[in-house]
Amino acid sequence: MADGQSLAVVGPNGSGKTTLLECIAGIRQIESGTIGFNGTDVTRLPPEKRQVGYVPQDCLLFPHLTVDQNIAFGQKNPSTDGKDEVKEMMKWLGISHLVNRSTKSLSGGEKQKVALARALMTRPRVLLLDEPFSSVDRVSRSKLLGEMRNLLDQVSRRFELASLYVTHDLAEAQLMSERVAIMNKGRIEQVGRWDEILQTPKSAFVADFMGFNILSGTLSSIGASFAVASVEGQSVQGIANGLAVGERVIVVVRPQAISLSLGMDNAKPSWRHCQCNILEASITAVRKMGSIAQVSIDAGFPLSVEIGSDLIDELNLAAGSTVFAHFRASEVSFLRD
Amino acid sequence: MLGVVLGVLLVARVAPFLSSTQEKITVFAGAASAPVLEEASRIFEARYGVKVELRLGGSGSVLSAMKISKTGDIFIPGSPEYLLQAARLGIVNITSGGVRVLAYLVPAIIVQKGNPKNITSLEDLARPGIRVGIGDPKSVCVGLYAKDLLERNGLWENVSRNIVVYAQSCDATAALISTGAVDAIIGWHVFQAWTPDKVDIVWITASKIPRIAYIAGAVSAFAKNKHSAERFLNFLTSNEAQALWIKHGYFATAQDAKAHAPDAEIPYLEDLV
Amino acid sequence: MASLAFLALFIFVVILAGTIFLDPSTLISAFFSDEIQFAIVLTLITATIATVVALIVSIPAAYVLSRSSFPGKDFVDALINIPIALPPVALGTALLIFFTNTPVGIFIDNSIVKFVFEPPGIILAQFSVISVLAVRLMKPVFDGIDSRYEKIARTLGHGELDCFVRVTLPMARDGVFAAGVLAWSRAMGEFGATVTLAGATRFKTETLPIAMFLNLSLANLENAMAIILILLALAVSVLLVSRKIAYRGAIPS
Repeated sequence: MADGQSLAVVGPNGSGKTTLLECIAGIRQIESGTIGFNGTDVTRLPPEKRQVGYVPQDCLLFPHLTVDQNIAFGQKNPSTDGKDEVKEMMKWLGISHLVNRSTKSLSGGEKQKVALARALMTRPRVLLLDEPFSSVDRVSRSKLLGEMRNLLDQVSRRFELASLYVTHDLAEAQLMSERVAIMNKGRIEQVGRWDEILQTPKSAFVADFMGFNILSGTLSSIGASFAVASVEGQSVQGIANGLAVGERVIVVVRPQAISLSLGMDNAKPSWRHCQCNILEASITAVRKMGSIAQVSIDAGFPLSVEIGSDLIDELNLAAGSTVFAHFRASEVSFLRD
Repeated sequence: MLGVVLGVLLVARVAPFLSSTQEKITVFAGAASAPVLEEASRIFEARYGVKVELRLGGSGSVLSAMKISKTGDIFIPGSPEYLLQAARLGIVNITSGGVRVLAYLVPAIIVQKGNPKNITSLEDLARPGIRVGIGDPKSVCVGLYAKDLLERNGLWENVSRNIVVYAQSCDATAALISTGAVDAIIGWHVFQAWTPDKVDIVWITASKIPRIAYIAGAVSAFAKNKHSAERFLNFLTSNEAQALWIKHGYFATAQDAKAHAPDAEIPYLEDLV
Repeated sequence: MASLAFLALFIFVVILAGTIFLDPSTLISAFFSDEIQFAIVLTLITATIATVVALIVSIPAAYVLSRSSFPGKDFVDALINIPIALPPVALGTALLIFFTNTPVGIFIDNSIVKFVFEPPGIILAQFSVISVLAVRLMKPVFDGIDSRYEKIARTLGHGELDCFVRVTLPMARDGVFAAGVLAWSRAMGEFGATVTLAGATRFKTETLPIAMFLNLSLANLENAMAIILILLALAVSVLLVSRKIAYRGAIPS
């Protein structure tokens, strides 16, 4: 990661995200491998020498110190200059009014800012945030997320540090950063930009985590640009990813990449010259969620489709209707089973 | 099941102690006479079926215990001064001839086996660096005698500087030397007989010993079982018992004791009263 | 509720009823007597020193037991609990034997500090009894402090010792204080180990509990009762003072 860059780390609970942060911070020992900051190997360095700012889950503000004392805790030389530094930081984060307050009576948002200020005082090279919103309810969360994103952008710019943002919530991660690392059972499955991952998920777990349709099939033939797999008797075209004929494969395609129409002609005019999968299916369920609708169809195997709600009304789609599912071969990936 | 069996066995074991059908006398005694009292009480109990309970400790301490609890059939201190004290408190009657003299004690210096500090006389106790222990003069007979002994020889000031501890009973005083906690004690000569493999005796120059003590007992005013108490006291003066005293290292007659201290006085109660 | 009443009644009857037999003038003269004044001062000084030393040793020990895992930890944990099960007299006897019958002990006793039948022996005896008690009391205190606080403090640039002093200890303040008060009280009342190792010498190693014992063996019941009341008064005042201190600026545990 470069200075000023941010990376979101997502994964289900227990996938090792917090452990990863702890290892980077130096408060957990690693068994093998190295950790490097800007080319310097810090694997042997104790946490106090690594210059990592850690904002933990639950903030963990020191209960026996006041807010400003908490923030000043990481200062190298708390002389009179130190006091000004603290004041300045508090002003910049908008928490000047909290000076001399005890940590007990703070709101969730205030606590986060204090924890952030405290971490930034050490002029860290890396900033780690561990599920800042895990204990915040859904409603307040959406409000605070935007604020947090702005704040982190400002922090990145001002302090030129790399930041890691850990969460188990996919939507939250998407909002916080352009790049993401997806973790599962202690391993990083894939790292990259969101669009890269959505285009080419590297494993079934990643695809599943991102909400793809997951199907099982066998690779039946490989063509010039695309391969064909047999799924429940149907042929599906997609990207082979180096697999061989006869291998069992996982077929993944995003619900958003599928379009529905009442006939076999291409659902979208722009797709006219593209390789397309067109499958006949019957609708098993329709669920409108505002402007988006989720439609479950059966094409010999179940598929989840996401289309605009207006299309539902336009085509008069309902459970039991027969439709045709259209999706481009380039949107289908074959993964090793 | 196992618990029930164990429980029954336990109760059977303990019951004799709890039952009050057996006749019983309690003897409050200075620890100086412990070894003989223990053996004698076993013989007495086997022969006459009367249980003898011994309460041992510093003579003063056991007297206090009698005074506070107002119980006790017999009082046998390690020296006559405590009998006098008991008489003053009304606990025993010494005029009516109820006092039995049982054995004689001579004060002596007891040192560690092999006498590593080479102590040969009372004066040596005042040597710098020697650690001395005696009984507490306020509550232990041998402590009282030790202080008296040192005072009458003009040694109290010098030696007391070396006294590091005052034991609370005769056996505690003896233990001071047998455990090696001090270099020397002034104790009863008989202490050496208690742990001959751990300690040696250094007899004090005869002329320096002002007083010889004796163990004497009397029936107390609190006695519930005067008859058996008298019987036990008589037993303790019998020939059979005399042999016990001698066996355990005590002097059975005044002459034997005086052999080590010809000029010493023996404070007979009649004279003290 | 009934058992609480029983307990209160028990304490009242057993301890306080004895005061009926005391007349105030005896109590006052006993309190001001040289012997008891000496005993009060000696007891306060030795108990305080023993407690301070015990805390210095047991705080880190309890912390290590709480946080680290090392080979043999279970063994050490069990070992530390042994002195609590031992009657103090046994502990005192073990110490006495050590200093008079083992080469190391004899060397220490003769060349470094004299413990046997001397005032330092009081402090050592008290220390032996209360230090393991203190560790037992303080380990749960450290257990209850989330170790993540220390970890965060480390990332903020402070070494292990620094974090312990600036974060863990202040957070453990109440627990440490309570443990200290309990240890001090126990030291004040220590008898068995003290009398065995330091002896019961008036005006030298006579602590309050020993003074009580000596007066009892001389059947000086008034003095003995006076000492009981003094010990009681000391215990109560310590309790009151410590509660005051604890409630002032209480830390959330």
